[in-house]
Formats: sequence, C-alpha cells, structure tokens
Amino acid sequence: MNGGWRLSMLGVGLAASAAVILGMAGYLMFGPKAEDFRDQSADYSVDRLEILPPRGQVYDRWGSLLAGNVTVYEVGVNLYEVRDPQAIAQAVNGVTGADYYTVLQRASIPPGPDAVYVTLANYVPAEKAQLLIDYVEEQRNPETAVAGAPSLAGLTFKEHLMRAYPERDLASNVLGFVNREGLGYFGIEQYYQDRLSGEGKTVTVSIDPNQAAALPEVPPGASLILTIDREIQLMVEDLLDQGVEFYGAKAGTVVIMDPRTGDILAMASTPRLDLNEYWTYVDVYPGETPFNRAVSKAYEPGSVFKVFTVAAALDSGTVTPNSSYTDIGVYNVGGHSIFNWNNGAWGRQNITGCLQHSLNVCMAWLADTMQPDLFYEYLNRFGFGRATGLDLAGEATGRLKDPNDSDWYRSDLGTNSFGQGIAVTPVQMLMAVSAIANDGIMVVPRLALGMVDGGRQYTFGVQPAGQPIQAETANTLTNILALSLETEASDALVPGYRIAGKTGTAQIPSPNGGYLPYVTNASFVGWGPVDDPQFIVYVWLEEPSASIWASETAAPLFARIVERLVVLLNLPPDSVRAGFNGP
Amino acid sequence: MANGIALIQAYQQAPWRKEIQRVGVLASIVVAVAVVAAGYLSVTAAAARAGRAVQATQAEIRKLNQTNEHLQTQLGVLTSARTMQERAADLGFVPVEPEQLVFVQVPGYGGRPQANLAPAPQAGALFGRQLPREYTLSLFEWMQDTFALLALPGSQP
Repeated sequence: MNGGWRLSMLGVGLAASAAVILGMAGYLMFGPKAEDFRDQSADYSVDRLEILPPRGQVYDRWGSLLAGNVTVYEVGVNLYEVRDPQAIAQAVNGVTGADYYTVLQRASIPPGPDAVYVTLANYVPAEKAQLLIDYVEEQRNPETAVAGAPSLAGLTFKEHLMRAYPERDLASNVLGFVNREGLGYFGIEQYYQDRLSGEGKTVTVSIDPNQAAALPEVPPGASLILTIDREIQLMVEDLLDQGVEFYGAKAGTVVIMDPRTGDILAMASTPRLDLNEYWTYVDVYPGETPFNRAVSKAYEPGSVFKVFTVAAALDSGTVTPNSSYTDIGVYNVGGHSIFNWNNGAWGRQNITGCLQHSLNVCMAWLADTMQPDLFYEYLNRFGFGRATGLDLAGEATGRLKDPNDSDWYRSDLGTNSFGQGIAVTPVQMLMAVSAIANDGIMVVPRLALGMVDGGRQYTFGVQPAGQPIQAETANTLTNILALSLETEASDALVPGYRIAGKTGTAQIPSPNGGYLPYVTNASFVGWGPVDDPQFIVYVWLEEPSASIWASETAAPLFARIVERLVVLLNLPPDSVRAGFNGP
Repeated sequence: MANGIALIQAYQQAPWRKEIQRVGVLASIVVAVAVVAAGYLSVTAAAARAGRAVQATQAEIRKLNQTNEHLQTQLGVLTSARTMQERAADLGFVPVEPEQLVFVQVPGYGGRPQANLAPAPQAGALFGRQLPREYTLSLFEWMQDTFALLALPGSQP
C-alpha cells in the first residue's frame, strides 16, 4: 500500500503523456493547419521529375548527321557538405573557366532551409566535367584519397543533353541553331521546332520505393532527313567563299536544286556561323545582315529575269523564237525611256539575239506588246511576289507590283521586263526556273526529304506548284538559252555538258531613290544537262569589285561549281549518256 | 454441497497451471503477431528492393539514351565532311578530275540509296509496340477464354 500512490502517479503521468500525444496527433490531423501539414507531407513524399525528350536529329539525304545532341553537365554544390569553398572555386574555375570569385561567393553561401544547392557552372562539356568527377571519386575512395589534398566535398554533377552540330558551320544557314532553352532560331531548327523538340512531361514520382511505378514514355522529338547533300554543300561553300574573295564581293549566295523534285541539294550563303558557338551570332551577323540570303533577302535580279519575260511572250504566242525586232537603242513605256545596258542599238534581232545580248529594249517591247494584264498574269503564275512555301524560317516574299497596286505605273511594265523594280529571292527564282527546266511544271522547293517519328520513317512527296507554261515553251526556251550561251562562248559553259542559263547584272537601288553608281548585283541561273535537266544552280554575288558584270563573275563561278557538281552527282557527260541510252 | 465443492476443488487446476496457460495464450498471440509482422516486413522489404531496382533501371535507361545520343554525335564529329576531307588528303587522296572519270553502266543499279534510318510505316502497325494478349489478360478474361474454349465442340478439359 505504501507504493500504491507512486504507481498511481506513474499511471496518471503515462495517461497524461498519452493524452498529450493523442491530442497533438488529433491537432495535426484535424486541426486548422491539417491541410497545410498534409500538403507539406505530400511535397516531401514525392519528387517532381521533368522528362525532356531528346531533340530530334537532323541528317543529310544520305544519312550523315548534321545536328545531334551531346551530354553536358551542370556542376553544382550541396552547401551542407562544403568544406573548402576556395578549393571548389579554384577547381571549377580551372576546369570550366567559370569566374573564380563568382564560384567562391556561391560555394560560400551558408547552408540553410532556403540555401541547400547552388549551380556553379552549366553546359560543361563531358570531358571537362569528367576531370572533376574523377577527382571527387578519388577523394571519396579511401584507397586513392590523398591526405591533406584540397577537398571538393559538396560538388555534384547532373548530366543533360545539349544541341550540337558535328559539321560546325557547314549548312549553318540552312540548319539554324537552338539556344540553351531548347528554342530553335532560324532555318530548319526554327521551322520544325515543334516536331524536333518533342513534348516534355513533368511527372510526380513517389520517393517511396513501394510506390515506384514505370515512368510515362516520352517519345523523342522527330528526326529529319534533309534534301541537302553534305558533299555538295561542302563543295559549294568552299567555292562560294573562294568566289566571294576572288571577285571581291560583299557577300554571296549559291543554291542548287533538282528541278524534278524541288530538292535543295545545297544552299550556301555568306556569312556562316559555327553553330556550336551560336552566341557569336551578333558578331557574325551585325546589324540587319540576313541569316540566309537565299530566302530572306529580296533584291532586284536584273537580266536573269528576262527569262520569264521571254517565257511569257513565247507561251502566250506573242512572239515565236524567230520573231524579229529592230533595236534602235531606246523604247518608251509609260513615258519612261528604256535603254540597253551599253546604251547601244543592236539592230535587227530575233528572240535568241535578244537574250544573247541581254537587250533591255527588246524585253520592254515584248512586255509592252503583251500588255500588263497578260505579262503580270504570267509573273503571278511563276510565283513572284509571294513565298514559295520552302520549309525554312524567315522566307521573304519579295515585291511584285501589278496594275492593281496604287504605286504601279505603266513605266514599271518596261523596267519589270528586264528585272528592275521587282524584288525576288533566289529561291523564288529557282522555283520559277524549275518550270522551264521541268517541261513547264513548277515544283515547290523543299528541304525536308523525310522524317523519322515513332520508330518509323516517313517520306515526303514532291509538291507541284502548277504549270505556268507549256512543255513546248519550256523546251524551246531552254534551247534558246543554251544556244545563246554557246554563241557568246560564255564563261558559264562546262565542257562535256550542254547548259542553259542567263546572266544578270543589276544596279542596286539607292535608299535615296535612283540607283547606286558603280555597284551591281551579279547573278547567274543555269540548268542542265539541257536534254534532261537534273540541276538548277543559282549564283548571286553582291557588289563584286573585280568586275561589275555577271558574265565575268557569277558565270565563271557557276561553271566551276557545275564542273564539280556533275562529278558528285555521278552525272556522265552528254556524249557518254547518249551512248548509254542507245540509238 | 460440501461434496460438490470438494469435487470442483479436486478438478480445479492448480494456480501455477492457470498462470502457464495464460502466459501460453499471450505468448501464442505475440508469436502470431511477430510472424505476421515478420512476413509483412519481408514482403515490404522485397517490394522496396524491387521499387529501388525499378527506379535505378529507369535512371539507367535515361542515362543510356543520353549516352547513345552523345556517341552518335561524337561519331558525326569523327566522320564530318571536313574531317574526312582532311583524312583523305593526309592519306594522299586528291579530288577526281572530270576527265579522269570512267562511267560504266550497270544494269539494274538504281543509284545510291537515300538515308534509311527506320522502317517505313505499315498499315495497321503505325504506332508503337504491341504486347501479346497473354501479357495483358486479366484473370476474369482468362476464365472467359477458357470456358469459351471448353464450350467448343470436341474440346477437352
């Protein structure tokens, strides 16, 4: 009985403790903050995982990789584990190049509920990060750890993917680039952003292993197969760079297209960017320099445009190849006098002569004879004044005025006939020429040949863009242009292959009105072999200083390109092909 | 009455026997609970290990996919056009001149094939992998199938 009160007190104490515990449990479960506690509990019991699918790769038409992904590392520090911030700063600075003091300041942050982890450097190449990883591993291993060595305890490494371009600046104007947020800029990367990037998912993963579940499948972005031929692209870029330098041009553009399919085999433009260092963009493309002149820069093409004036005149029956015209050196349209490039009078000419001597007066006569409605109807059929539909970001539409526009004057009919007062892009010219090189059928230029998505390869079809002229007109015009090149012994001729083409030396409009003196845009468009056209090559040199004439700059560059192109295309000379085809 | 009490006392268990019985019952309950707890713990531990293995495998898959991407790009770097051009030049190769080429017509040769990175889509099998039905069959569906099979004329259990 003496110890009874002690037992009673113990019982009461235990009961009180139990009551307090139960009361607290009840408060936590059902009290006013129960909802908050439950939310916090849910936060701690799960991890939010962002699953970003790898960006789709980009290949050339033969399967060579043009754009892929590489592993890079985010180097961070767990503040609770840091022992030697100076050593960390020194190591991270030495390996990654990150600023020493910035790293030191971050690694020295006192740990706390709001300061657990900080990033010290990101997008560190795998080989560099591996140096740090190896050192940290050595330190952790008691067998390899060196006593007294600087401690990098706390350093953590998270790997992720980053866009990379194995060919560096090759086809950079076509590919565009991806920034570190995964957003495509310019070219294919921008145009096919949604397809390439795929769709990322943020999933909630329980940290309770009992509740481990399979993660949702996040399919990678679709991969693209381009029409570009890597070897042809390389050849074109090399020859273009040489041409720009040799002829002292401010810039240059070359595009090669298969007229039968619209496949762009090569598209080169200056300047080009090492896509792995895309942040130098502002230095490489100062001011308003276009990323890809072939699609984004419209210009007055000059005499290459005469091809379409003659095509319209022949197709509409306005003239025949043998129609004659007496050139007196001037032609008046809408009160505006048109003169030839040399201000000369060339006398009696047929249509071949008009093209061979590139006579502005003759073209103005043809357009004037056709009348505006018919002339502009043909130019519309050829697709001028609107985007071609090429699958590339930033395509300019150019400018084609017609009689329905308030700023069109009758004199424009005369100047437009020889490529003045109209703005076109090289890809517009290519699409329009495809009609002449492809029996009258025009095709939309394309850069994507196919796509790999969901483990399947899809091939895109050829997209016709109408038939602006009849097949007979196209073939007649091709032969006229081939004959005119042969007659003038043009520098564009390629031994062994019959080529059709036209030069264009265009004055450059001044921002203050009129035209700039002494500077020109030199262009050449050519296609071949004449009996079975398999390529169209468009050359555009801006303001060449070696000569203002396209016949002395763009035409020989065209020939050099085609000489290599036929080798890369495995295209035998005309005589050999004739032998293969038999009598 | 006295005889009755004496009889009860005669057949009443000794206090020590009652104590042992109570302890025995309690011990049985404790052992039963311990066995259930041990079983539960074992199953839970096995599930946890399997869960950890799943998580580790998923992480490994992600890492392997990344490595695969990385290696493909590295291969692209090693076989890039300029690198191959330099290697060819180092080996003494020069670009062929057009006049050096000899063209031979090969009947049936359709030219260099374009990139073939994946099979073409097939009708009815456009999307993803298909698991055999046995892998997704529920018990109820299996029973249904079995009964249907048994109901077929000539079938044997």
